[in-house]
Amino acid sequence: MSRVARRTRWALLLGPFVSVAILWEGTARFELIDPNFFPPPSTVLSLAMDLYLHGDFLTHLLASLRRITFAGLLGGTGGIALGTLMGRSPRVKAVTDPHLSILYPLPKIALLPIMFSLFGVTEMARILTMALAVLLLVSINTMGAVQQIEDSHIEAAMDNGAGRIDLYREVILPGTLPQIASGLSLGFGVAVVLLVIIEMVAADAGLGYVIWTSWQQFKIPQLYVALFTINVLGVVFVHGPEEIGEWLTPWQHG
Amino acid sequence: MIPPEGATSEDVKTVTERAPAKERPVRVNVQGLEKTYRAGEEDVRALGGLDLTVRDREFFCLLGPSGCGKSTFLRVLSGLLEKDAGRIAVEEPEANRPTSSMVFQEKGIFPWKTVIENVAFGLKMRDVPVARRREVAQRYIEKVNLEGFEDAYPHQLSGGMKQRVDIARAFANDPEVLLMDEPFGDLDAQTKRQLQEELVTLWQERPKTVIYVTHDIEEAVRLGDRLGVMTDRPGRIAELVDIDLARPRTRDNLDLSRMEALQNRVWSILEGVTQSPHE
Repeated sequence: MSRVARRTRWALLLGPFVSVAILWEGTARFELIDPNFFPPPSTVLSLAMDLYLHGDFLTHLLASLRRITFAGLLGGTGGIALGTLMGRSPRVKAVTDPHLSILYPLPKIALLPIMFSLFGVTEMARILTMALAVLLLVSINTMGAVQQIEDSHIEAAMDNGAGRIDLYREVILPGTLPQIASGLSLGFGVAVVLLVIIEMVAADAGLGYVIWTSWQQFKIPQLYVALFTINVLGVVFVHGPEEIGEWLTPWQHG
Repeated sequence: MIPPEGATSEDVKTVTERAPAKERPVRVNVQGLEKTYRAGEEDVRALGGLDLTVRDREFFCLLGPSGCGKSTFLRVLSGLLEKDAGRIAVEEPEANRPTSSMVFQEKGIFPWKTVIENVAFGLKMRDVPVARRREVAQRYIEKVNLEGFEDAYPHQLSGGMKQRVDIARAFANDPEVLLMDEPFGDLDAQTKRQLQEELVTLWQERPKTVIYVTHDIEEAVRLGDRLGVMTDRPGRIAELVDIDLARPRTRDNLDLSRMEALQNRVWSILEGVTQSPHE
């Protein structure tokens, strides 16, 4: 995709925010919807400024950011490594594949209590739960991509004198980059869901925590500030890897 | 003597005065080559005691029915596959010069590398300094008529152009022996003919020992100094044929009746080979 097209796409991503905001502002102002439950965006926006500049929202945002970043790093690197290993070695695949097949359909949130039992009620347990979800999606995507590498590309590399490390750096990594990026994107999608649920049920900071406590204390505008922040976070973490992936693979387009 | 890299075209001309093939030293000597590989549950004996000698700077074509082990032979020669038994001797390469380089039928070049990066790949793997490898790659890009496409990615190129990149990479490596695995097998007739001519020109300019695998009789006769017909699996050389057609084999210089006679002869050898019962 060209740079202009990419910029247009990012601009179009703002479309839904703008259209929902206009519709919402209008209906709330004229009380077509109950402003107690649906405060107009202008109210939410000014509150957001206040909460971020003078309140404790930055702390909550950073808590969520830290969790998802660490989970992404851990699950991403682990997933790339495991997926590459599985793709290259039928023996490794034979052993690990059944484990992944059984773990894959299990909602990872169900493992949270087990993680707490193993690691205590700690950040480690929360991050590992999310990281596991990322790892599964990234490893499965990476494995598929490694297996799809053309034999002739491996042969050509070896014939030209590539060593083991060259083979990974010059053939397998670039050949699998697009699928690694989409695996990361999928992984982060699940990780954001897990993040919010974990923070709602088992954390005392973070945007999910704010959403749930705001609801219970009926601080509806504050709930929306947290909700929109999560949405932005989700967009960045889900579309980010795809964008970076495209930027890193100029041979796929134009 | 093979001219050093950077020789001028005048130098090249003087050294390409070719001694008669039979007086040149043996470059590749293969004796009793055996290779069995596993395909699923089955053991496939691809090569059954193959003997072959190819002389220095000879253009040798290897013909055979499909599945006769031609490609396996090239892969064993190149070291991509290990042989089970037999002897392969290629005259000692000079320092930092590879024994062989392969040109693949398709998908031999990397989609994630530009044309120049693809051509320079073998040099990079041998730790040739960046400036030097760009210079060598650039020279061969020009020789295969891809000037202006240095920074293009393979998906922007036609099938014929991709094969040119693969050929440029092999020549840039400056190997002792060039192994070609049906490099033009997937091209349309016109492109194929054009690339055949370009290949022969390049080979005459930078002479190398070539082992060229094909299942196209006309191509083998048109290109080769000599050709070998392989038996069905397990592959051996059934018969060798000298191709006594004068070069350059351009349209006005080519002895068409002689060419047809040779093709017929090869055709009947091939028929005999495919009819013979399996061992």
